[in-house]
Amino acid sequence: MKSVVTIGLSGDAGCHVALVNLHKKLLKMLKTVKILHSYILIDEKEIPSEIDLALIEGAIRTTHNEALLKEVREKSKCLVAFGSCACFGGIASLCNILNVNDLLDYVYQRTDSTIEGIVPYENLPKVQETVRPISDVVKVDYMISGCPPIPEEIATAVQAIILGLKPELPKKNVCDECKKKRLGITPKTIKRVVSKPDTKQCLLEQGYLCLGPATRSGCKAPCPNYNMPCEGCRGPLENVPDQGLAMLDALSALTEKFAQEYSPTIHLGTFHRYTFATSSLAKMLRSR
Amino acid sequence: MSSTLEVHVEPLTRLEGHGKILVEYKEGKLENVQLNVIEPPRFFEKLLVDKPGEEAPRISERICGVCPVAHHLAAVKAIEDAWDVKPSEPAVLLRKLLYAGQFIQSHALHLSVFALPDLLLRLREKNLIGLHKRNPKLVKAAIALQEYGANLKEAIGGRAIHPVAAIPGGMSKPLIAATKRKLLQNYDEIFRNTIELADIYFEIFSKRGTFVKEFPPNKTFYLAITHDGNFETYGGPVRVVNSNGEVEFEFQPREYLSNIAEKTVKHSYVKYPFLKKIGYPKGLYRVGPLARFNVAETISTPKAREYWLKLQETFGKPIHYPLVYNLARVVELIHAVELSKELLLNNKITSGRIRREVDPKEGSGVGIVEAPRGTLIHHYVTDKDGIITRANLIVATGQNIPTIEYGVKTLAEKLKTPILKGKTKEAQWKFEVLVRAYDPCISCATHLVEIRVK
Repeated sequence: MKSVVTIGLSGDAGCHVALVNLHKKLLKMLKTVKILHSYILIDEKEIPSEIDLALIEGAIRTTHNEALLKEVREKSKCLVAFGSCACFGGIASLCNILNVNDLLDYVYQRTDSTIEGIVPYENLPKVQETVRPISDVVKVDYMISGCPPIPEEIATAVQAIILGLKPELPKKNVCDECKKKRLGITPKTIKRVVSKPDTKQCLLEQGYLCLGPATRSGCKAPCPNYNMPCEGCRGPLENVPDQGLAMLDALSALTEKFAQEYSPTIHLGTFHRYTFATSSLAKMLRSR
Repeated sequence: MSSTLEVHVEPLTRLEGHGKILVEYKEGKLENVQLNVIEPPRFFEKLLVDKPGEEAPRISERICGVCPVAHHLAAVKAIEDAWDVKPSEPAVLLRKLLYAGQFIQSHALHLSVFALPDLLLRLREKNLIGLHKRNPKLVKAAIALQEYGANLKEAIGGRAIHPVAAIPGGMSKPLIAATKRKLLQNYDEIFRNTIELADIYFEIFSKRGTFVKEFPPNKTFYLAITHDGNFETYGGPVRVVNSNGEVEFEFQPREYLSNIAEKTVKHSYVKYPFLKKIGYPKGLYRVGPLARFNVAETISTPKAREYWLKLQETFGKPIHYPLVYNLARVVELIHAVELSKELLLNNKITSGRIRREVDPKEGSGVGIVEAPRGTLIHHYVTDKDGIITRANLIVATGQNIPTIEYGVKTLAEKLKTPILKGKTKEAQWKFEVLVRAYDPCISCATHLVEIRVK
């Protein structure tokens, strides 16, 4: 039986909950693999020395995350970036635009309820300059993206890997799975989701910044189908390095209006919400 | 017995997040106890700045993958408070149903996968797999419960984890009658499963009284929101009771800053909240299921009330024993299951008027909900375009961390003799049982706890 470990770096445990959300199928899966280490499922404290498959949730934020990741890589035959934080840095990497000391200073000394604040330092791992995807530090064999990934997708990928096969990921975009109608019109203005959309028509055509065109499919488009724009949580399509740029490109081609209404500070969190760490802009910032 | 003895528990397991505790004995005396939450925050308070207010419900919920709905709702309420928006009654009912799904999933997960293996003392393989070997029927029942919770979240919120439907002004999608019927389809079985799990818990606690009381009681203040003095999770004034169970004071969400402050400590990435009027450390308080039991007068649904009274008969009120958090959690699970049916049968929930357009504007708003793990506070300030200029969050687990640390210290004192005789393995497990009783969501209160016993 193949051995599996699951690791949580800097993230929110949502990918592990997605695994638990396999419900009955999780029990089935547990009959086909041996879980040797998983902070959410079993008590084993040590990382075992021979691992067939490691699922890594979360990004690298601290020296502890980095050391743990390297240890697991060394001991694993196959290592999977599990969820968008591990794949692309995730939502927390939006902070990469700011200086880490300012961040620490803000949270520990300047929020409204904090008094006599000091930045903690004793017996604690160091917070690194930026949030990084795990591929920055180790070789990643496969990626299962999403915030979080779809439970079915996890099961299928794990099944393939333990059989020695390459997991197949969807190659189309979210629009492909969206039920909204496209009329082929261009948006006249950029809208915020404080107004009510026409629930039948494509959100992007109505001016809502829906990232469907630039986002990998496989989720069945729940957000647009709930009348909310796609936030791009599954990351870019195959071989597209920068999801946000791809979306910006598509939009500028669609409407001139957009270029006029674009605000870098506000829209950074729209176009690169889950992938900022892997964006061209973040790379430029780091090389400075 | 002159050397320094160290016991490490790292990482803490069967909780959502990682942790370590350090307990140090020197010359036969307890020298130092530290609960190090070693994962730093992911700086959401800064990350939310410059984002449009209506995005906060979907951004902030990424703080926690275990109880995203709590953040989703606290954020939407805070923005609505800042922009003077009142959602319609059907929208609020939908939110409450979404929240019931969250409570069911989160509590079922904790009670089955995390806590139960500890309480079945003779169970050797203390995890889901071991539990399944011993009692497959129980595990299947717990999984069905969890699945019901996840299905509710998905049906109302659009996604089981990180839902999207709560938006300033209401909800983005109505519930249709067909979905409602589908959700109610297996209700009777779900309800039976819930009571079965509840009875197992109450039986264990009546048999294992000594084990339960081995974990020392902490006499603290307790804090929770209430509705007319009764149990409530979605909204209401915040009530504080003292360790005798008497109401100390009440305040409105907008007054939280004059009532709660957070102190930083050098050894942990979480901040230590306390009651401002009482001061630190006397004003430390606890939140979560046990606190809600101690604070509220009663609970609204019939079966939950029956178990609420049973709990009161067994342990009195207020209850200070940390392990009894689990029984209070059981009562809340029953309540959430009953509430889900009540809401699904309420005709207003499918009435369709669930969203109104809103005008983003300058303002300051506070949203407080009871998350599965305790009181959760979101506070946003927005500019004239409704863009967030300041954000402050006080998360559930953070408020329990100081008491958990104090509890570990008391337990370390108590376990000194066996530990110094070398029985560290059992002690390590007990420290973990204590921490787990609070169901700390350390990914939310940042991330990791280290237990070291020196």
